Amino acid sequence: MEYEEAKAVIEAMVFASPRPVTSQEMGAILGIDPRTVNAIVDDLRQEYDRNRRGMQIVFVAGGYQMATRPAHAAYIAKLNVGTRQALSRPALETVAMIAYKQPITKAELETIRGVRVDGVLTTLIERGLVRPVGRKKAPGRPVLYGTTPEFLRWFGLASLDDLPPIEGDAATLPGFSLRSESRRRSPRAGNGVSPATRGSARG
Amino acid sequence: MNVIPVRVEGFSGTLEELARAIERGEIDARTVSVHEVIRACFEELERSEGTGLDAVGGFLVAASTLVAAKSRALLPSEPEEADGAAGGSDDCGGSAEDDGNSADDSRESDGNSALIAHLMKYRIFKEAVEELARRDEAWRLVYLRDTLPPGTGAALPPEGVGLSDLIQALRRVLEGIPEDEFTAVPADDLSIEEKMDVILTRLRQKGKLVFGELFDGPTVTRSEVIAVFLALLELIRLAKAVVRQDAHFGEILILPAVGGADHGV
Repeated sequence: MEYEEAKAVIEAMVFASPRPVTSQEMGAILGIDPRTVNAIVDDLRQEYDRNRRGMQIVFVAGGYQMATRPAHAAYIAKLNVGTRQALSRPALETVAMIAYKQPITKAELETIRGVRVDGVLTTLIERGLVRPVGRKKAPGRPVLYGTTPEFLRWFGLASLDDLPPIEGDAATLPGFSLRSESRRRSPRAGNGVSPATRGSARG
Repeated sequence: MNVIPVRVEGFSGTLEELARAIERGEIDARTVSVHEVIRACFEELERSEGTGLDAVGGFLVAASTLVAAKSRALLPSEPEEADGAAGGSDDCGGSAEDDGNSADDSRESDGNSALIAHLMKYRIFKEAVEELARRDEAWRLVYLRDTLPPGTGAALPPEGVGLSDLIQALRRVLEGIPEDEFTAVPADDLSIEEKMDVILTRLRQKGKLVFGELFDGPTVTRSEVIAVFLALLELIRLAKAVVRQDAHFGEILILPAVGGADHGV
């Protein structure tokens, strides 16, 4: 397939996909190496930046997705497409603990936070950031909670490995199964804290 | 008087002396089996006829001091000793080896609280939470092209029905209902969430509901109507239901949202 054609098809697929689409998926469909897909997406991104396009392609939850640029947020908010509320501090703390220590039960969360988390947990589940992932093999078979792909999208994370690194001390604690030492940032997962750091700054 | 000889590893003297030595930290209380010591003392007391009140009193004081010192020694001072508290209290009856065992048993369940202590100590979560908060803010400004199945989500506000239409309809419903009578009996706890559940269940069963049907219970009170109405607004906000009016002044229909709730941006 001709390069420009492949680029157009990839652009179309990323646009049409209702969820982050991986380079593997697109590579399989196009019959090309996923690495080539990555290169083509990079090409597209640069093109969008160069031409000061209103959209960008971000890498979240393991795949590519079309997105607007932060600079235009105020305009889009007026479109009445629904603006998302910032998470409350308790919600942030709870979702962080779930993210780092999943799967985790409600009782464990409450022990860590020292307060009840029912309300917060409901909110997080309602927003699709957290979901029950199973039951613990313990008395009462309590429900275990984990994060969803939507959690990654919400925070612009490429994967759970992309979570803010935690001090080495903690990673070695018993029961704390975070592979913070071995974590390696995928070159594709280049979403900084601020989505504005890439893309719109250039142009 | 109360001269009860005590012999333990690395110490020989009276019970009182032992207690004092432990209090001064000269002997590690954890190495002393309180059970052994006290059993020896009992034997001694029984053997010595004519046990005076003084002797028994002195023994009690010394023994209590010993137990207190041992409990203190076993109480957690470091996070990894958080399991000591339980061991200390039942120590009078158990030997030092028993302590070791019970500590091991509870270590597993206390592993979490030890971990928590660590987590808090290192403040690692705090930093992670800070960054997640920054990300939350930053990515709020980015609208991802998204998981909305066609025809949902952005279909809000309701098709052809404004809030004022809903409120007018509500007013009509309320007109038919008498003022709530106030009695000494406290009103039912009205839960909007419960009402949301009821509406969703009925929507699932019937496919659609006419506005008036929402309030057709046998004994509907005004507060109940308000609760149901708020529940409806909440469902619309959460994109779990849509309202539609086919003609002006026509019946307002409540329909389940296509594809269910969306958690997107």
